[in-house]
Amino acid sequence: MIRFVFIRTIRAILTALTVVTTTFVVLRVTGDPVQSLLPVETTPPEIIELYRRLWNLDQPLWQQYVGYWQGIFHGTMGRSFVDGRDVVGIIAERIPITLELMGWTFVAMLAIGLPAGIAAALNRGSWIDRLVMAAAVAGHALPGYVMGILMIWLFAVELRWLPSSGYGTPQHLIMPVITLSTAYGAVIARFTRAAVLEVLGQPHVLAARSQGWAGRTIMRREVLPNAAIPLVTIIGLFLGGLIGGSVIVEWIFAWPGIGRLLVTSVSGRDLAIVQALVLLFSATMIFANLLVDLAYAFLNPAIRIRG
Amino acid sequence: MQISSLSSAAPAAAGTPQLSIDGLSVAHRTSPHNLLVSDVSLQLPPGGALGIVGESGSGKSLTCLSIMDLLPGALWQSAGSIRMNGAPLAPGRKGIRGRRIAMIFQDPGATMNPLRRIGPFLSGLVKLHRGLTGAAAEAEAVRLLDAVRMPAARERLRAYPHELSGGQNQRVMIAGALASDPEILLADEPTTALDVTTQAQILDLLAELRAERGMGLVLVSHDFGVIAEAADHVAVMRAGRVVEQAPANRLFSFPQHPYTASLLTSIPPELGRASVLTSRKSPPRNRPSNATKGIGIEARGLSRLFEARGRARVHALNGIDLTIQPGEMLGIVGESGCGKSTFGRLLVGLDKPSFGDIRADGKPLVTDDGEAFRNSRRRLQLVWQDPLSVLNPRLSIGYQIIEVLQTHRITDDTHSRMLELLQAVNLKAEHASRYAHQLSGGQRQRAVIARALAVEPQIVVFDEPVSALDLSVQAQVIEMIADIRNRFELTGIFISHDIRVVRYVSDRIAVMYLGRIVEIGPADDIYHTPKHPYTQALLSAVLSTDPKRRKSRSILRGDPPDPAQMPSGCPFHPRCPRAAARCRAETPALQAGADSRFTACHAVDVETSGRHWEVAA
Repeated sequence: MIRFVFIRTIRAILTALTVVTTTFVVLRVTGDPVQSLLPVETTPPEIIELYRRLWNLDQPLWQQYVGYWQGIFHGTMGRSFVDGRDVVGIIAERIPITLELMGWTFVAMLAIGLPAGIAAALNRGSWIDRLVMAAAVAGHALPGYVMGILMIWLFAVELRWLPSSGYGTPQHLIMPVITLSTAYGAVIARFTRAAVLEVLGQPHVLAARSQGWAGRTIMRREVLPNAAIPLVTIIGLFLGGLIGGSVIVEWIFAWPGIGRLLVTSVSGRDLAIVQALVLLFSATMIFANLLVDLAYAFLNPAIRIRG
Repeated sequence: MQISSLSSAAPAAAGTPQLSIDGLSVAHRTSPHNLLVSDVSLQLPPGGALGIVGESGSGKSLTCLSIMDLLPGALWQSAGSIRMNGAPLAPGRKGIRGRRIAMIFQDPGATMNPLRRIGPFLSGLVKLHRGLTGAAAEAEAVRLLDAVRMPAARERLRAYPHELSGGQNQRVMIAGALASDPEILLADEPTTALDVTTQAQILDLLAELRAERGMGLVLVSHDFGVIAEAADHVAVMRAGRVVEQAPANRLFSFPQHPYTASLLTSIPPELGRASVLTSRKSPPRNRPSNATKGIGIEARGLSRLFEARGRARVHALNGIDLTIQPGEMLGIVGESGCGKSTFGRLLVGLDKPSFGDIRADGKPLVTDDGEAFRNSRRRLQLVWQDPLSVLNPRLSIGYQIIEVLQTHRITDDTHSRMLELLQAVNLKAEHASRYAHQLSGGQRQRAVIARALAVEPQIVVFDEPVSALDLSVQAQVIEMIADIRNRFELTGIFISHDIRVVRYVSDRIAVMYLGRIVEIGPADDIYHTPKHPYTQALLSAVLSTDPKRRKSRSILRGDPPDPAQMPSGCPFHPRCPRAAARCRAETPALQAGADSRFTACHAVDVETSGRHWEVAA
């Protein structure tokens, strides 16, 4: 087990190193940021030179690379190209706002997906199953921007029940959370149904019935723990994807989180912030993957013991 | 559901069957006239052992599940009644299921929750059925494991199913079944997934438990040998009906129904005089002439090591030296994990040896690079156990054969060549357009063999080619393999756990144990006069339906040791009835005996050389 945890952790760290380097290279080969930031024809060369010095763009590439690493270790990621504020500070004040949205989305998607999937599996072929699966296809197929705009039109414009966008009160949370958790919950429902059906068909469930156990005990002891193993993998990957998946919904509902920050920074060519956000998204993804591996090992004794 | 009325609730009179099934029918919910079990009536006398035997699809397992009211959701009991001691059983079998009737299943590894340790599994059942908790339940769990002769019972409580062998898991399942001290035990193919030596152990255990507890037994199996061993009354089922039932001795000696008779004659020892083989008196031993296309193979010092994570290295193969003559069919037998399949994979180049090499006509058999690789692949073919998993489900059989012919540019007229190949394996032209799922098990394996023959191979490795097939189909496919082997002049390797099957198709037999060959020689000699104690044990584990041939068996104790912790000296000595001090210290080498036989055993060496060694103190 210890060996398993060790190997997986090392692997995650190696992935992170690769990502950090790749980010640096990709963002540098796309051109000189100063040229895309300032109107080249009308800006005097001294100003351009000044900006390049300000962001260390005048140094040789390897020095920039070393400086970039030093920054990461010291927790400084430079200053915004646009307003000069500290990048880490800008992102740090946005993270809790996104986490609030994502936390509720995560809870809602599990609250929708798991019971729906289990109910569908237990009533396979019945109207419950067909209803859940039809709803899952619809929920997954409907793009977030379509659903978001439809909801704004219905609940904010026509009915005037909810604020159309913004941040601050619990009412502001409702529409973005529903938009996000519908799509993710639909996928969770389908995976849950498949996982439960798979386990229900296994001989050990039949054996448990032959031993005289009650149906509820069999669900709790045989079916759900075994179905949880593949589900944890999927759910963990969602956890990583949620942070990055906030972009569209935050934009539609004017939610001032990091998704919205990414959109504004890209369109404003704010390289320092984009770079830091890409690293943040990658880090959450890598961390979520590591959690999945460890949870998987914990749930599955065949790995836990051999590890 | 039809409920039999007026069943007297009076106490079971003497002679009332412990379990009686009357007019049982099972149908699909959607097509009620398509009966999967049709009007089956069976009786289990008190403390008796009822065997239900039949091929796949005969309805034997559904009959067994009906007793527990555990039919799959799409099926229902459309007619008939099931009574225990004269009283009809209520739907749901409350108070019966797991308590008065217990059940064990085919694949013990799969019938156990992989996330639950043995201890909680057993003490949970003890609590459910007997109300014991805590230390009392745990003590009872240990007692149950002792009752099924589980070595080191107390230590096993913390084990997960994947840490135990198949035989041990089946013992745990039986222990769980005994938790409620049931009156009847239903066993659905309880030994089918196990090795022959383990099968013998489990059947003995069931017999002992019956005798100790006066428990009734309903045993379902496709294997007449198993039924003959354990049942005293036998019902033969076919296509949902009971075609014949009689006391075991009478049924096996004087089968009345032609179906029973034909099944009994297709059991491998009788293959030579089976009805399907009337054209020939003895197995086909005529070695092909010198003009054979097959090539000879020479394996020298062949070893294959596997590195298990965090564990010692495992020798799946340990220094195999072997020469196979051109056109010879070599049979390989041994228990699971003995390395026989690893050897097959090395021979066809699917895996590489850690040490040693394989040569054909003096040149390496498998080469890695480019065109040479393609040519070497052409010479070698492997036929697996499960044909369904090797056939492409989305391509027709004919197309898959034609594809092979085109890839290797065998011929231009691929279509007629494909039809010839189908004919060679006794398939019809109409099968060419079928898909794998539209064929029966036997037809699928024929299709796989036809596809293997398409490349005109020189060497074909058959890895348990008939183990997944029904008995009557097994006989036909074995016969077909013997036939094509002569016609296509193949050098062949026939791997099986069943020494009867191997003996029928092979010229020589090699017996493997823990990655080594312990005995090798002409097939009939090995079969009739085995010298190595392990070969003797394998043969004595073979079950016969003929009461006269059922001799006192020497059952091997325990399982093969963990290959990661190989015993010192002779790997077989911990289970060997003839083990002496020398066997613990020195690994015996294969020694030549008379009649081109080789045996790796110190005890046999002494006999053949006439010398005696002193047993060290």
